[in-house]
Amino acid sequence: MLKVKNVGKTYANDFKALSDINLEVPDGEFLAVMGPSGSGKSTLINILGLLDNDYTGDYFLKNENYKNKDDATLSGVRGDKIGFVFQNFKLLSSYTVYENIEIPLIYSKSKTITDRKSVIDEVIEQVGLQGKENNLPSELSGGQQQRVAIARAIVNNPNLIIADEPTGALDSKTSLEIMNIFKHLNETFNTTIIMVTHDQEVADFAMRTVHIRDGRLYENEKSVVSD
Amino acid sequence: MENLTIALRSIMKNKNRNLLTMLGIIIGIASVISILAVGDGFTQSITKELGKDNASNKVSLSYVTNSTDLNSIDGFTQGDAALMSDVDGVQSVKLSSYDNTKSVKLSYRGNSSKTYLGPIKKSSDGPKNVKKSILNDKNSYDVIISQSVKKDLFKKSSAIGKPIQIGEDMFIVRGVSDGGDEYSANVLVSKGTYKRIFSANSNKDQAKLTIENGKNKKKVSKAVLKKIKANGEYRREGKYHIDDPTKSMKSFQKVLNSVTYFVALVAGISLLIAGIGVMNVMYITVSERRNEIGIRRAFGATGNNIRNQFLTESIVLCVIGGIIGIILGYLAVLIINAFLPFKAVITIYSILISLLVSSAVGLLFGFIPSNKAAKSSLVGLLKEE
Repeated sequence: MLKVKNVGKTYANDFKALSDINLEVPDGEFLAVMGPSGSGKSTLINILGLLDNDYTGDYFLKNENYKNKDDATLSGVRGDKIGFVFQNFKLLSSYTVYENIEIPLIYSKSKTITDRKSVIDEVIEQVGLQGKENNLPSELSGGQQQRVAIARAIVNNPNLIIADEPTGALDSKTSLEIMNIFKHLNETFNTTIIMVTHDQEVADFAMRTVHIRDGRLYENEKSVVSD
Repeated sequence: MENLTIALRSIMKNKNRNLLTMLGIIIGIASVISILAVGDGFTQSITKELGKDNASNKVSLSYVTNSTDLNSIDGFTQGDAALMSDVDGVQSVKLSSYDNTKSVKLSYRGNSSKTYLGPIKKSSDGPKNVKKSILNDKNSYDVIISQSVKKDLFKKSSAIGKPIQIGEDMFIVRGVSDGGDEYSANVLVSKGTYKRIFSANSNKDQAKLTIENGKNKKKVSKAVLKKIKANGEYRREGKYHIDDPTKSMKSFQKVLNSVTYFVALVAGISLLIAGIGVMNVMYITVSERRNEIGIRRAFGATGNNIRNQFLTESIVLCVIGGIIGIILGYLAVLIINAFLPFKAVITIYSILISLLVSSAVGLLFGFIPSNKAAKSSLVGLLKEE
């Protein structure tokens, strides 16, 4: 479903963040991306999540090349096909749990206002936050906040979830709970998940792990692009 | 709709900051509303007057003499009246006195005084201790004289009840009024008495024309003026002109216009400053909410969505200011009305203009910050905490 071909990224200061990345992720795969900080992990998933459109090479999603697409198209795909989970949750602090989860639906063209509530209720149940709908993020624990973020990521029923260190701000017990939710989503709905982590225990939940070092991608510690 | 909710929410969250930002808009719009109200009120009162004037088929012509001896020049003569009625379109001509005074000579026991005499217009014109019945009786020979006339004729002795001679008739002084000056009537008689004794041979300095139905009033009165200018009996001693009922209004309008320009300037400047304030607060809002913008963008908002969201916020901010300004302007108009000879009115049109102007300020000055929000790099936005 997802194919990256010869992708490279050089920043304005000539820093080569990524070079010659080739990666294929089939539908329903749970992929972990590991690597030390500064290795290019975040740069890669920004490209995979269509957050960054300034790179070289090609990026196919469902056989469509998203290189050089306009903002409206990319935003549409982000809203409808991709869900994001961030390390620091990135919830709107003045919005309730319900309102935070609602955000992707505001911009989605496929859902009318009337079925918003049932959809949101459903994902709240999936992440086990019933009764917290009207709480503010500050009234929740870290684990609960990350559940809100996951609910927000899956509310549009995306094909792909991109998780950037989703357990980075959580203790190990809560991390396990969150990882079980991801695993459940992956197994039940066949949702493709690409997760960046530096925690081997977390990476073990994935089916496959790739490593990034100095902007290059290695599978099982072995360069994919062996030259 | 979603944008409106977001906008109101964000504005309410920073109430004080936004209220201060709105202040310029409030002042600007209140000025706009009140000056428009005064202008509209004035226009309405003029239109009413003109409507009265236009609806009637009457035109009045005046004669002003160059001569200092008012009584020697009659103004319009019966011959002039006949001349004017001959003009095509004139139905009838009626001569009258524009100014109801007559120069008279008064005497009392060898003291005499030359002054103007006129009819009492309202019973309140006379001194308070004079019986109203005297002043209303058309057959009376009662007069009220001014202090200055009293001094001339009676010196320090009392004048009440004393007989004085005016022309060939004897009158009894019934009261002494405080007022009176060189030019207005110093001797007052009842309306009926004035008509009976003095009015018959007073100046006819006004000609009231009735225009035939269906005729162009302006054209006819111009033709009359032309004719009377060429043939009027006293054309050499004075000038004829058509009375313009809007003349005094025109001079008032001039004053009003300069006031309008001044208030418009104040309004303009305060709206400009308000606009800059709005721009500033929108810049602050955008930079405070980079995280929110990033989240919305990641979950499907396009750059346009973001621009519209902040533009809506900027416009809503200005429109709220505009609405407060309209309310303040309304209060200002209530106060202004206490000092105006006509009634200032707030029209729907001026309310719409105000709302339009405030939205325009929001749109104009909110655009650059909103655009900045829309164009920000997504990766940069999401990196921030």
